[in-house]
Amino acid sequence: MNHRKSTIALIVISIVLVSASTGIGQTQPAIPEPETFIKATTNSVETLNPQFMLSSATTELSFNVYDSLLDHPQGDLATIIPGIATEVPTQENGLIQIANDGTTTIAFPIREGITFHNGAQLTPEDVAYTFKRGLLAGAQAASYNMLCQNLLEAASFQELVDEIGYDAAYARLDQRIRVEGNTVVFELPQPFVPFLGIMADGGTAMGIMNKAWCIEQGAWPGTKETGQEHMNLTAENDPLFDTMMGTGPFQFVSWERSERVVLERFDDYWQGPAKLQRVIRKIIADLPAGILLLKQGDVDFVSVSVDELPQVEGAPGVRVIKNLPSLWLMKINFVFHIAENSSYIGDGQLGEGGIPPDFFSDINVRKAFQYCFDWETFIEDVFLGAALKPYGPVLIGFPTANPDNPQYSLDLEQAEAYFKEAWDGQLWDKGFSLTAVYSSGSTHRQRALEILKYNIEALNPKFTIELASLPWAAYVGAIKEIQLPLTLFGMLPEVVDPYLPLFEHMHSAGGYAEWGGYMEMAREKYDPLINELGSNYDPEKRQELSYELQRLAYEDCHSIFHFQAVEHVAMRDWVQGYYTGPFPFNLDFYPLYKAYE
Amino acid sequence: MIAYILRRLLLLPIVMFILSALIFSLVMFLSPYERLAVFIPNADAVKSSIPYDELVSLYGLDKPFYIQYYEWLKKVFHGNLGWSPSARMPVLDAIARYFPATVELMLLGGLIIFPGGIFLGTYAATHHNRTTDQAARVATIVGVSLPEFIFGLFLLVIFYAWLGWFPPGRLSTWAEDVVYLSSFSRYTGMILVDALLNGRLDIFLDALRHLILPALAYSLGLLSTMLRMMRSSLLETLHQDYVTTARAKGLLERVVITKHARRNALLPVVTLGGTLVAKMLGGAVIVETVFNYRGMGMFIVTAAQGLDFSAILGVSLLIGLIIILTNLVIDMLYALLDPRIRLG
Repeated sequence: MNHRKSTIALIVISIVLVSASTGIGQTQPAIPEPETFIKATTNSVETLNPQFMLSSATTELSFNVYDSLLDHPQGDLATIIPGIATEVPTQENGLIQIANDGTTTIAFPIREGITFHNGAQLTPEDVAYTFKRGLLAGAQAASYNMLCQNLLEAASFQELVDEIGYDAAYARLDQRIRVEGNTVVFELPQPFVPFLGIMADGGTAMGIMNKAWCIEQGAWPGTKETGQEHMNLTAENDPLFDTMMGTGPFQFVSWERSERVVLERFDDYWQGPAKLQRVIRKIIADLPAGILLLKQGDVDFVSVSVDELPQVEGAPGVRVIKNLPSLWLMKINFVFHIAENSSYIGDGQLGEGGIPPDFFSDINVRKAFQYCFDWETFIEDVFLGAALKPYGPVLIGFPTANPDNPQYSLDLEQAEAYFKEAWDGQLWDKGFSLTAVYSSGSTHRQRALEILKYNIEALNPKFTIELASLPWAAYVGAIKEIQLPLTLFGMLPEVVDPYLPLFEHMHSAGGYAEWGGYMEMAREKYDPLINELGSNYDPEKRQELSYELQRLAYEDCHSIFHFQAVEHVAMRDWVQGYYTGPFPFNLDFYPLYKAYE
Repeated sequence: MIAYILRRLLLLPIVMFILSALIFSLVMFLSPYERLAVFIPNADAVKSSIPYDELVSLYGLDKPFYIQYYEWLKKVFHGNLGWSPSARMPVLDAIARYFPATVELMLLGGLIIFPGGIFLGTYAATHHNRTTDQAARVATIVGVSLPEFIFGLFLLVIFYAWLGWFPPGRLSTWAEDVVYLSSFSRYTGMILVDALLNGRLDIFLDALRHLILPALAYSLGLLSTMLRMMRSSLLETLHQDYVTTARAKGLLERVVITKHARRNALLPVVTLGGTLVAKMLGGAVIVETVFNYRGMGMFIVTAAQGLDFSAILGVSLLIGLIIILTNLVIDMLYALLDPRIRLG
């Protein structure tokens, strides 16, 4: 009996020892649903029609469901490769032709054998229809605005109709996007270099749709006679608002508003099927809930802010990737001519009770403010050191971004000198008072203004900056109505070309010049240079123009470029194949899979 | 009583009209560009290249107040409460989708608050100054003082992060697939009820598993309020002459309490019940956000943050309607509980 007990005890001890030595007790947890990838996000989906997506976060869906004419290699936005088109048009291969009057034709030979998710074959007619419909319907995605401006020479198709009448507008649309054999030809009135970049936005806004399917859904039938009924669509009356069908690696299954979107692998994808069978984009109310789900293994991926990093770093089974560069540059814009009825400029006179509406039209004031901003403290405080100080308006990572461009840095002596010069020397003696506003809940906006306030008020007791916050909606409204002396707004160019940020920041039609009140300066000094940058294919000339514009941005000092953001993501350690794009929180599901390495 | 109810119901459209005009005019204090912000999704992802002017005109935000209100009213008379940009669907559809989820939460919460409050309040009052009463008093102070979001997070950390028992959300992924992608019929929108009607006990249990924590977080404060009110009201009633008379007649203590004292003690509790229904609607906002439970609370938060005035108007009308009807029901309950009260 005793012998038997001893034998059992020996077996038990042996099992325990062997288990411990081989790590049986420490095996990695089983991967739940290895073919289903679940991403948690706080960004709900605004629409499923890629042509109307305004938020960068939503474009993740169109990117995975649609394909565009051109593409980028994974993670390399500076290089353009063929997509649905078989070749990248260049002047050398004859697909880009520039006539003497500047008329530029860009031809895209269309790949054969691409299948839509409903089994239909993609044709050049589908490609032409996609763009014509987008323009006619008044697509709101930023890339479409640029396309409309440079293809139809109007801010929108409606504007063109108002200008020249529907018949002529439609004739222009029909002429400028046409099918020639197996090729789709775009005819631009002037060369426009970023055009190829727009076509390579990875299927976000420029995803190619199936004409017959669109018509089945109730979209424009593709005829001139019916065009007017399908102009100026809103989400409410857009037949493609809640459905998708493209040629991408994943097909749309369902969208439960504010809850989740489900995609499934498309097995006939022309580049081969994806590894994942199913993708669920789960919408969560706030990040803490998403982090709990990630830690439990109920979701595979979340994007986290710097504040949430301590909650995920070191968590078992969670991999965190920090400091991923993104295409998001923030700036504090000086408004040169504030609305006279603004409630943020005190009594509207130079002195301790307020500022005149044209306070920032004096370059000395702008420069003094620049020298009062402390980038180091800001980036350390808000991003724990993980953000970039921009070189200027061209984002770091873009071609021609100039690291040697002169930059401002914290220098209170210089600031004092400029303040003493400002307003013919009156500012220093009279003082000033203004209210700087940030959008409620935006920590980075609030902190940036606090730093500015602290340093400026320390220079002279007669200088006062009050801080106030407005809800986001009201903030946008106040910016648009030129009520705020300082506006904190970002640039998110989706196409990696210096033309885009320079156009947005400095061109008279770019938006900021109008809001900032430097239209005259823009028309005289910047527009000719920017227009040339947009139309010149010579890389050296483009660099020269871009450098000059960056220098002018420094010299004329319209804004404090205070940071270029970095992002952080957290995922389960079984997630493989992740690579970062322009927005690290937007995933390309195609290369992803779940397995332990 | 019927004439009284009809009169109250006839007043309903007038109250709704005044309420809608009031909210609409408040929204109109904002500029068209401020109201446009709801159509623009993400604060940091907004570009200057968005065609603001065209969008303002497209959505008719620059039209005068009376035209916008008239157009909205015309739609309402056609059964259309407008489009909710924050929910990405018509307001009526959004209400139909999210309201049942909140009702489900309110019903489960109500089951804890009302019978629980009345029972525990009665118990505390009838055991006045004993240990159980003292414990109940301390518990109610804690319950009233502890904010719902703190208690909710506390529950989440223990029962989900540590124990993994009760996850946030409304359903597990597999159950979502069944509910959203299969032939599962959504008769009422309340998953517990629909699961039973579809004969899916597994879905019922999964939904219940997701509902328990939010219902608990939701109920604690209101249960404490109800308990305190019931306790103090019953204590006061127990000192009335007619209760002494009942005891003197030799009635059993249980009969004295349930038949004589508690019935009268319920009058202030019923009044409080009406207030609690309104509070429950408010509490849903916080609890639903903490537990990622998609109901009307989360819908209205998103709508308010984005100044989605169609949604705000629609939900305000619905809440107004609920409050008015609740008050009507309470008036009727008064008459039932106290025969001296006559409605008319």
